[in-house]
Amino acid sequence: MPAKTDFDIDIALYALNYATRLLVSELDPEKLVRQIIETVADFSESSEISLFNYDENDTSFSLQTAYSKGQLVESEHEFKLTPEIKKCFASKNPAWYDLQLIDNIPFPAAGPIKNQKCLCFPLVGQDNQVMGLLVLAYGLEKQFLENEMQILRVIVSLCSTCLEKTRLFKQATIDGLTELYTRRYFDVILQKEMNRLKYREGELCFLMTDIDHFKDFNDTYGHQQGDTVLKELASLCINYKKDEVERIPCRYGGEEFALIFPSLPKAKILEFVEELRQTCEKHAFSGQKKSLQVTFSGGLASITSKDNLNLGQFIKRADDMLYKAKEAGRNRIYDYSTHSIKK
Amino acid sequence: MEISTKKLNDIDVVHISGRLDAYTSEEAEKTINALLDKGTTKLLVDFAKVDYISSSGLRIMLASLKRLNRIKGSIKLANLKPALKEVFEISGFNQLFNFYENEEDAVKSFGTDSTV
Repeated sequence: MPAKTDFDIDIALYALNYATRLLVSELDPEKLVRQIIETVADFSESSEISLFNYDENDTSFSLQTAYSKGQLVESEHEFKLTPEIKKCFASKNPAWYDLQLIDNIPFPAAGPIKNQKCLCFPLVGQDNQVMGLLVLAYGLEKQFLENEMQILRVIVSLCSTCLEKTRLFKQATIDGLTELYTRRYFDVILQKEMNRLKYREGELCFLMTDIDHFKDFNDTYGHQQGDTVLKELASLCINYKKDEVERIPCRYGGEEFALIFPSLPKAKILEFVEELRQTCEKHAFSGQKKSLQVTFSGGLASITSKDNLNLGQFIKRADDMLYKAKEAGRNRIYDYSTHSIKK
Repeated sequence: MEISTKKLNDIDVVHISGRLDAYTSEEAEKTINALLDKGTTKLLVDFAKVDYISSSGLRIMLASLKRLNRIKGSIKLANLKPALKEVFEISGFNQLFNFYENEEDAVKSFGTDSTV
């Protein structure tokens, strides 16, 4: 079959510009992986794509995600480094191999190309280190025009850079003890969400919390036990109803956590934060023979695009409510807009 | 992804809903190309129910724009969600396409401006 001749370089360059913007805007590693798969599907015309992680230091190799006919697919199969992949990594250049589909996941096979083929792209990051592999499935007839291949190479380089960026960003923004986002990230993301308000309807809410009597707790049980409480409460903040309630959980200070809610209506958030408070109250914290009870107080603040508040003023609203909740007896949440006790 | 078309006087209106990505854009391309093949010169694409447009989806709009420019026709995009509109604008596509807040404004604009 002859090579395609209808490739329009102008349109491809505009599309490349657009794809670049979509990729570089993403900071969440999981969302980025999805965006990478979508982008590579757009530019490669392959309907079966797999993405593997590779660590040059310990040579670990694993499936990150795969895409088949518009859907993400999963597999329990343990994919291993093969001589073909090692050769591809050594060259740091794309190469064609025979194709095998394992649970609909494209993977290079040994031996000459037979019925189908795959194009393997090593993902090469900083210092020319290989950090992953993209495998694109094709029929035997597939041929690339030179322009088309060069644009795909640009896309793959961009994907590698973005993957590396989000990994470094995560390392720099995740608190080592609690796995919550750091205070620095909280400031950045809250400002970003405040800026986003002008492009969307609804409210932006965040909850500032503080563990009740935490100093006394540390004095009684020691700092190691205090760390256990911080970790377990952080885990609740991260995982409780994770699939239902989108939140950005951060460690604001020592025992102060902040949860940003970028998308949900306020009524749902009020319900959720009260449930979270009750769940914490009932949670049996580990580390002692007798299970420990820990509570927190919270202040909730919200703004719409009509509110003319800066970052500091917005944080102060939640902080003021937290202070009032503490004053009123702790283990409760105050909402700025109502000042009512949500216990 | 779902796609439907309707005729408003001499304007062909295309409604798309869902995700316009590599897998679904083929159907959108076929529908729009069929309208262009029939000789439409006024195309309005309503994105009110579109959550995501990949670069494949964008290519369809660009290819339609090119075809219409050759015959002095025009394409208007309506109801782009704010986040999508933002990416379009940052990528400079507001220089290529005219965006409208709603279908009605886009329809009216054909009366005064027949080219993009």
